[in-house]
This record gives sequence, C-alpha cells and structure tokens, in this order.
Amino acid sequence: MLTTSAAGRVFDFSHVVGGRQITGIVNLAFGEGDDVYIVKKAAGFTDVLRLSIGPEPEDEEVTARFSEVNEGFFRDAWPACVTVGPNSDVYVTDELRHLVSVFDRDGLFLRHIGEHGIGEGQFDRPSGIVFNASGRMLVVDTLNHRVQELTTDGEFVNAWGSHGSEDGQFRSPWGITVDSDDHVYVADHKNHRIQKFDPDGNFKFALGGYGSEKGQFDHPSDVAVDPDGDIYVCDWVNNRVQVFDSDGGYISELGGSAIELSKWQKQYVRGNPDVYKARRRVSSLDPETMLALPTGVSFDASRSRLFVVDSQRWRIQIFNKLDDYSDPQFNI
Amino acid sequence: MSDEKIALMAHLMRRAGFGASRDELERRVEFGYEATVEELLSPEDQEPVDIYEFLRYYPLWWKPGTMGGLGHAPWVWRMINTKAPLQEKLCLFYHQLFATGVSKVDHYDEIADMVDTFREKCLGNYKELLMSVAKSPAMIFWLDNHENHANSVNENWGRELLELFTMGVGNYTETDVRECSRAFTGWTLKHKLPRFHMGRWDWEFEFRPEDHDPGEKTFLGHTGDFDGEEIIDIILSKPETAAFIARHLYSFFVADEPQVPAWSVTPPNDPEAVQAIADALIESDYHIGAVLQMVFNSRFFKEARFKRVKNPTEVVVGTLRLVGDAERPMPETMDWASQIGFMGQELLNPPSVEGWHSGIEWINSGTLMKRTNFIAEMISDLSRPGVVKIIERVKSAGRAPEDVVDACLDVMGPLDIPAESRLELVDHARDLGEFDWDDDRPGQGGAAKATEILQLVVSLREYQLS
Repeated sequence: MLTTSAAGRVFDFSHVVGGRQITGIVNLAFGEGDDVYIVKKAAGFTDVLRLSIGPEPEDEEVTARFSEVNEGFFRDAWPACVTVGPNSDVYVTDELRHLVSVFDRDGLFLRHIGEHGIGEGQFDRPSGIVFNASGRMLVVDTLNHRVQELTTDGEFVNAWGSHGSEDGQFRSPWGITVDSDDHVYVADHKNHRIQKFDPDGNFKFALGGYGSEKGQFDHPSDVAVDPDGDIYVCDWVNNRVQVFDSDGGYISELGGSAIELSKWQKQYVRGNPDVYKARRRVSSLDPETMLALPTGVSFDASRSRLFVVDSQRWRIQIFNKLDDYSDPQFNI
Repeated sequence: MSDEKIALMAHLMRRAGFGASRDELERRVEFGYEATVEELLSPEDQEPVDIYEFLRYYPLWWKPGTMGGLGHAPWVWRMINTKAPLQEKLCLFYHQLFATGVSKVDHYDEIADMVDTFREKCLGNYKELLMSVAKSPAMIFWLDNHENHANSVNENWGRELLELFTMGVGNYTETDVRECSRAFTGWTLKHKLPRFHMGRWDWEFEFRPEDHDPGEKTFLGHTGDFDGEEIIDIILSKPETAAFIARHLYSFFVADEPQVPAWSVTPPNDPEAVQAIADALIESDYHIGAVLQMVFNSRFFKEARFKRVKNPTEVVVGTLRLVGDAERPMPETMDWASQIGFMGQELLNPPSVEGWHSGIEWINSGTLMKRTNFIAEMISDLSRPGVVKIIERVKSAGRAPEDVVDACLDVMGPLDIPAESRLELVDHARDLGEFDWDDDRPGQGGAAKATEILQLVVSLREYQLS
C-alpha cells in the first residue's frame, strides 16, 4: 500500500534513497536544511556520511564522508547511533570504544566523551543518543541498562534505569528520542517494549510486549515522535514500523512501500544487463518493497516526513505524513 | 566425588557437546549421567541463543553473502553460547555429512539456512531431515539438481544421495543412480531477485511438474512411477542404509573410523557397535534422538574415551567455552571463526561434497601449530574467568611441582598421559621454581607459572583427542 490511512492519519510513500554506497546503514539524524547524517556499520566500510536528501527522488547526494576527513578513525570503531547537537556538531556513539565521538558538521573529529565502565559518565556499549530541550545529551548506555544525561562537555547530570523487566528497568536498550514536551522514549530492545519517561527520568508508561501481533514488538530498535505526539516504533525483527497515538493507542503499521528504486539503484540496474534481466524474470517485485530489519526511524518535522532506515536493503524509505489529504473519487 | 564419574562425564560432554568446565562437570555428576543424557537430548527445554544479539552488532551477517570467508561467524558465536550443545554438535555432524560450500553456492545465507534446518530437525526422524535436504536450495544448487530435467537428467544429486548420504559405494548400481535421478527431475529453485542492488534474497524450492519425469522406474529392485520421496522411502528400507548412517554416527560420536571413501573396502573398527547403532536406527524408524540415547548410554561409548581427534570446531569452541569471556559479539568473534578455518575446517565451505577428512587427518605440522598456539594463548590469559577458576583449582593442590602438574592434568581432562610425558612436565615445573600462589606478579607469580604448565598440557598429543 502506498497510501496508508488510519485513525485520521495518512502516510503517503514518497521515495527511496540509497544503494550500495550506504551498505550497512543503521541509523540517521537530521542536520541543517537537507542534511542527513547516517551511520554505516559494514565490514571495511564503517563510516558516518552526510547526505543531502531533498523532497524529490533525484535530490540525493553524498556530501561528506567522515572517514575521509579523519583517516583510519573508524578502523577500530563500532559507530551505533548519531545525533546533531546544539552547535550543529555531530555526536556518534561508539559501541566498541564505549564512548561518544564528536565531529563538526563537515566530519572533522573534535573530541571524545566518556570511557568504558559502570560509573557516572562511563559507558558499556552506548547506542541511542539524542539532545533534550535543555541542550544536554541523553545517551542509551546499553549494557549498563540505563540512560545517562550529560552536558556537551561530558559532565554527568543524571541517570536512570537498571537491568530488569520492571517499569523503568531495561534489557539492552537501543534507540531513544524526546517529544516536544521533552518526555523521553526508549526502545527497550530485549524487553520488547517502548518506555516513556518524564524529563527527569520518571517512568510514565510502557507499550508493547513480545510478539508479532498489532501493538507487539520483536526486538524494537528505535522510536520517534512527531509534533502531533504520534509515536513510531521501529519493530526490528517484525520488519515494520508501528504507529501509536500519544497515549500509546495503536494506529497502524508500515511494512514498506518501495515500489521504485532509488536514483543509484536505477542507475545500477540499467547499467548491468544481467541484473536487469534477472529482476524481470521473477514472479513478483513485491519483496523489494518491504522493510528488512529496519534499525532506525526519525521524523523530519520541517517537511512532515518519516524516514525509516531499511538497513538490510541499504536504503531509507521516506513517507510523507499528510494533513490535507482527501480520498479520491470512489469510482474513478 | 569419584574421579571415574568426573572422567566419564567429561567424556560425555566432549562428545555430546564442546566440553565443560570442572564446575559444570561436578554439577552434572550430581545431576546424574543418564539425566544429563536426557537433558542433552531435550534442547527445547533450554533458553535458545538470541541470534539477534549478534546481528545487532554485526547487521550485515543477516545475509552475509560471501563476507570475507566469515559467513559462519554467527554459527560459531551460537556454538559458544548455546545451552543445548548437542543440538549444535549435531548441526556440525550433519554439515559434515551433507556438506555444501560457499565456494560454489556463493551465498553463505543459503547454507546457514540449511544449518538452521539441521538445528530444527537434528534429533527427529532422519527421513524428514533427508527430505528437507533434498529440497534445500543450497543442496539443489550445490549438486546441480536445478539442471536435472525430465528430458536431460543430471545425476549429481542422485549419485551423492546414494553414495554419500545414505547407502555408500557398493550397495547400488549405475542404473539405480540413473533411476533415482529421474525421480528428482523438476525439483528445482524458483527464480529469485538479483543480489547486487539492494542485498540478498532467499532462494525457494519449487517443484515443476512439467519438468518432472513421471514414468516407470526400476530402483533397487522396486518398480513403479516413483517420485523423490518414494525413492527416499525405498533407500531407508534397506539395511545397508542403516549400516551406513550408523557408521557415520559411530565415527562422529564414538571413535574415529577410516575416511568415508574407504568404507566400501574397510570394515568398521567395531562392527558390533556399528551394527547395534544400525539396529537402533531400524527399530526406532530412524529416530536420531532415540539412537543417540542408546549410544551415549552404551558400554562401547563409555569405553571409547580419547578415541577421536578433536575437529577444529571442537578445539576453538571448546576452548572458548572453557576460558569464558566470549559471550558478547566482539571483533575477536570474527578472529575465532577464522581460526577454525586456519586449523583446516572452514565451516560452510567444506572442500568437497565428501566433507572434511577427519581423525588423524586433522593434524599436520601447520594445523597442529595453529591448534596448540590458539589453545595455549587462551589458557594462559589470566583475565579470563574460566582460567581464573582453573588456577584456583590448581592452587588447591599445593606448591610441589608434581602436585601442580597432576592438578593441571586433572582439571584439563582428566588426562591420562604416559609416565615419561608426566616426568617431563614435572621437570619443567621444577625448573620454574617455587609456585608461590601469593605472588601475583605477571609472568613470575605462581598463577603465571601454572599457566605455563597448562600451555604444555594443551600441547600434548593426548589433549588433541576427545
């Protein structure tokens, strides 16, 4: 389905970005204008890239490769998630070195924050990262099963969470986001749920639970919230994004709608006759449209667009959230 | 706790798993031998390994393609972490028996899918497993059954089904090969999307009736318009098949046999044991779980200690389970997976459809060095929790060189070695000076000296045996 309507919301598939140049994409964050930063975790190609992604399928370009600015930087790194800080600096968590790396917007390395450990300001495989309204970073400290709040200088402010399955506890959390009220949402990955907290880390509610039915998750990887308060959960192993209202009520799911190839993919298929022919002898192209182990979801409020990191298909699927949609004539 | 009970449990865990620490062996002896066998035969009672833990850190290993010779890394990680080791051991057994390799298939993920099928069906009925193998995309491509047409028969799959997977050379004719192959015409693969523009896609089995030869066939003395499944039924009705599968089970779980190509001219080392396994296969209607229960409780199994050379997977996985700190996916995980290949067993990429030659052929001057260097490096790493526990046990034996050597031999096996080898170890221990357990200086204290003895122990001929 290209247009998904449910409970007054309409998500209209826009287009696809990506291809082999973003093999291993696992996470993204929005920068200024059309800038989108992505993390690639791929053997030999681990990197952070800055893309320019406009509203049209042709508006897709790689504008910076951090590995070229900092030669050898990613050789012994496991970048996980990315966010953009108050000064347009780019913050990338590193699960192997257990720290946060800070770069300027063009990719020049500036400093590290944190080290391996269990203390304040220390990490064990940090992953999700986001800035709150106070300009402080919230870092998912995955294997310490907590969220830490730090200043941009790495000074410890607050932490919450411990290992477990009770309210406010985590099992290997991953993605994180904040809403317009500065409430915090965490993908509690191995508890198969999303938890919502107030800005101080007090538990508000949890949604989900293990399974593949509506409202259930299988290893959720990320979460996003739009300005209306709608919650988007990247339901990793179920290969979908599920949408909930601000109270956690189920609205719909997006399983992928990529009926067209990206700019790069089209060029590749046209340039390789065997690939072109092999693609035309299958009984259906439907599998190409679907999400495969999506690892990231972000909402671009400036253009009301939902970006889904379709990691195993090396692409980003983009959906427009429409607020002026009316149904077409029924008998058209 | 008697040494004999520990030694027997260690034997069981080496064969039905990847070995066990002394703490685990003691727990299992308390639990009981037969109860442990039952537990090993019930993998469904254990919490499964969460493979998504691995994929979170290595996302491209979902469909790893050819991935630098490391497509087997998730399986290795699973073997290190499993609480159902017999299940993974059987995956290894079937991977050796139904050997398919990325060198031809060119998709690790298809072969890994086949291993997943082994995991699912390994303790059930052999016919069900065989049917799954016959429809496995990896096997179909590996043995060219997608080229086996009603009007143009390709005998590759049909021949190997008889020669390597069920009956063995000498128990069928060339006509049987031809007729068998005719029955599998039309068993092929659905076209899949190309891999290069957005990642890999799974192959799927497809039966094409228009490409199947439905005509009358005469196979192993039976005549009819057989299809592939009926051919497999006929094969499994023959006692030669039970004997052949029994010898495979004996060679993998009990004691090394000659290489498979020699089986048609070389009788089994223990014909009575092989026959007992064959009888169990027939009596249980090829229920592998029931057969292994008989094997592990049999006298011939219990008496077959150190009668097999450890294969490289057993060496690497067994060592890592023993020394610990290998549970998290980490860069070293990839190196460990590579080590298995360096020792001569590149998983998911066997040298041929015959699988790997095993037994003493695992050992040559190169692979022996790889084995001993790997184990020695691990067993001397005092940061690893398993090594710390080993040293604690050795410490409790005292400070005398003889006692330290005996404790090392005990905790690493227990190993029974020739007197002259023991004397050499004792001489070396004496040369190291006093084992001062209060001295924890790196390279000089009692623990460091003990790891040097452990390194020598794992270099012994006897330690290469299972």
